[in-house]
Amino acid sequence: MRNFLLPVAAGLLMAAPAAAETTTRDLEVIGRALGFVENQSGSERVLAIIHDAASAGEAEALLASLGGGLRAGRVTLTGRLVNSADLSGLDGAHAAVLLGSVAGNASVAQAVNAAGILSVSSDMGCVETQGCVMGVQSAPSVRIVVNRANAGAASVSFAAAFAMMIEEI
Amino acid sequence: MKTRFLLMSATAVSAAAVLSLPAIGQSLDYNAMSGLFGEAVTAGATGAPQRSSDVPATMIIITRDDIDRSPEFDIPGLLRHYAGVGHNRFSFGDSQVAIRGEASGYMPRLLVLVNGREVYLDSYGYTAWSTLPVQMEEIQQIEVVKGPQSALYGFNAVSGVVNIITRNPDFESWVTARANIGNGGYDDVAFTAGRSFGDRASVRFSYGNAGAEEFEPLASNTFAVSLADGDYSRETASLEGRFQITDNVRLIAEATTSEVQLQELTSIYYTTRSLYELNSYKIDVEADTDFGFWTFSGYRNETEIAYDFGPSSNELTTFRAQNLFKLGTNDTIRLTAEYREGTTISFPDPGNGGFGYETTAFSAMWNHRFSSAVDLTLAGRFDSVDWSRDGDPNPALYIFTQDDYDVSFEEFSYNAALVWRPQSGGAVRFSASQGVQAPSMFDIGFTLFTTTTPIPLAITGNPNIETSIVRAYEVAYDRALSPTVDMRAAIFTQETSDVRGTFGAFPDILPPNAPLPVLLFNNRGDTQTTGAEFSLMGDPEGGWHWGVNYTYQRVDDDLAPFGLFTALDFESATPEHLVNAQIGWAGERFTADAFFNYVSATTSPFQPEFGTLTRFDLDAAIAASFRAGFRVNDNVNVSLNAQNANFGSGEIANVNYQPASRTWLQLSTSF
Repeated sequence: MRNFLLPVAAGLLMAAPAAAETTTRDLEVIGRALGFVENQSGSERVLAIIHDAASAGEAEALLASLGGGLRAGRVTLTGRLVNSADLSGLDGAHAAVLLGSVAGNASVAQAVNAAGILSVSSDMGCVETQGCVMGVQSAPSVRIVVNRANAGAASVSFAAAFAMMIEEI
Repeated sequence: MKTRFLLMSATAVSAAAVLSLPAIGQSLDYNAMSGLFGEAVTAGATGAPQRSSDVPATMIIITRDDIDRSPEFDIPGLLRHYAGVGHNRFSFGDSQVAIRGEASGYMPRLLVLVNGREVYLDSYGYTAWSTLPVQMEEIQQIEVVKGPQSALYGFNAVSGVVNIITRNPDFESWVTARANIGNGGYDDVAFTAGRSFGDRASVRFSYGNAGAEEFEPLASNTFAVSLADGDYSRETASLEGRFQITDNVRLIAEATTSEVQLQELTSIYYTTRSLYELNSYKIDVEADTDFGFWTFSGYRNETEIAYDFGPSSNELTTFRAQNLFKLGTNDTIRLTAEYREGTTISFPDPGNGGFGYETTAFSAMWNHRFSSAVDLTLAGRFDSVDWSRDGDPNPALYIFTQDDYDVSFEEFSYNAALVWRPQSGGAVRFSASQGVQAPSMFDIGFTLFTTTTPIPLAITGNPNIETSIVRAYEVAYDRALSPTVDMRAAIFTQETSDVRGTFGAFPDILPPNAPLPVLLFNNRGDTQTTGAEFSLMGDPEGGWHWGVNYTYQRVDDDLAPFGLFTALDFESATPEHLVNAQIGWAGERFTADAFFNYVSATTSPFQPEFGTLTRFDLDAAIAASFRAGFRVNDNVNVSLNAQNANFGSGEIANVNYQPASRTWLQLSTSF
């Protein structure tokens, strides 16, 4: 009886502001979601944390929270800092989270997609209009949005069960 | 609650070297999905995987943690703590469960599945819960969908569906051994295991053996008193193999067996003692293709039942093909075709020709997401059923000839639901449905003549019986009132026309229109239930949790005269008020849980001797159950369980055997 948790989209609880910082809980959801990406082997996943000068502190905090590897479901997530001015550090990453105003920079998301890397942000504007493949929010309830066109551009596909349970645009 | 989901999935997952992607169908990775979304997930509402907050039906999902913390030894005991669930324990092993209605003897309006295989009995459409080849420790989750679900599941799903899903050895490995020992001669051992072999094969096995002394009979139930020395015994086993044939094709094979002996209360409120011997065989092939997710299933249920009034032996064979796919970004579609054949020997009276049916069915489900706030689900199903008999019933006794059994039914069922998630929070569901309850083997072809009654009677199935139709409408609202308190509410109405079965004490047909006076299985009228459900659940800090729920049910019958022509009396026998409450606490090593159930007064039909139909008043009752658990170490747990602790040597809760307080010590080891 008690285990039926019903998340609330908005309302009585505090709504997430539009440009909220990415949290450790967001990273955990991202890590779990990476477990449903097709054509990837093993359980280790590298997450590039793309930031600019304004979001450098946020990026450092997230990297610290990943530590030597954050266990997220069947995935172990490790991090790597990447400055938005120099995306060469993306090589070998499985996904890239765009922080702060980087999420509003379509060219960054497009560059990530072109590298065949899954671009993700907790800013839903990125997945709606700025080129991100996936938008993730963990509060007040988990919300995952995937942009099909952007996923195609990044050559990223998801397990059928996952695709049926998230929002696609 | 969210933390518990994450912890559960983190600890339940084996350290798989290779990530195998979760498929759908029977291979949905419930732990990974629920860990991702922070809530239970299911494919039980529409056939497509969904978050529990998105399902277009009022649904209960009971998780492994819920099962572990409950002082219950069987599934009906678990279910009774939830809103809208009616329950009667007519003997130690005979529980009946209803959704939004009376849990009568041999309750035929509920569809029960184990891993997608029907486990209700074709003989009369009821579920003998003790025969389910499942141990509590191997259950992943139990899904209860309320309201008619025929469009998705087929016949019998007229009050709802209970879908029992076992743990998946593809995603976790486990070994558990458990022993219960308690008063009333109760002992119960179970062994379950699941293990993967590389990334291409996995196996699940379980075995259970239980026994107990019967409860005390109701003193005025003469026949129950005569059978009271009969003890309860249960032995079940199941074996499942899962094989990854290619990267996108999986084969699952399962075999089960059950043998159970127990007293029961039949649909005419008459006691019987029955022996069940059931075997099943099932194969599923799942293929994830560019043209959708295909599932091909075939299963066979072989059922031998020795009732007091005669033996039943029947076989059910089902083949199903299903395609589930997403069209664009907003539409999910499920198409299903099914063929089903049920056959039985002439029973209880042999020599009247075996009989059976063939069913062909087609169904479609469409879910459309208008926006993140609104989605619509529509489902429809068409069933065509053909009955036949391969011999002539004895014309000296029975009124129907072989040709009379060549009957056909064609029925349409639907489900429609709109889910709206307003800006203010929560989710509102509007739903309408039509369910179909087709006649059972008993209804169509039962043949028995009595020699113990003052005059010989022929008890006869009726090939002219009509299908029973159920129409239901519901509005429901679920929301989180705070980060730690959830609320669920629903109002509903459900009309059943041409309620089938159960004759009364007076013959329906008399000579010269029949060779003997006939008690006929027949339609007995209409009934309507209107009601409401309300639940609150909380998970405050400090390891506590609590829940309370209330169900109101008002029944209006328009049935044949009670006693004379029917044993049915839903108005009197359905409790008007149900209240359940629970509170629990979990610490580092200790857990403690208490459960309370209130059932308001009812008047039950009663047949203490065959042919003497009367009524019996049952007072309102409160049951209190408790569990205290202690984790000895990572592998060993002990608990003390007290079910219905205040019932003493027996609470007069039904007209059969009186549920007594049962206390047992449980020792379980897991690896």
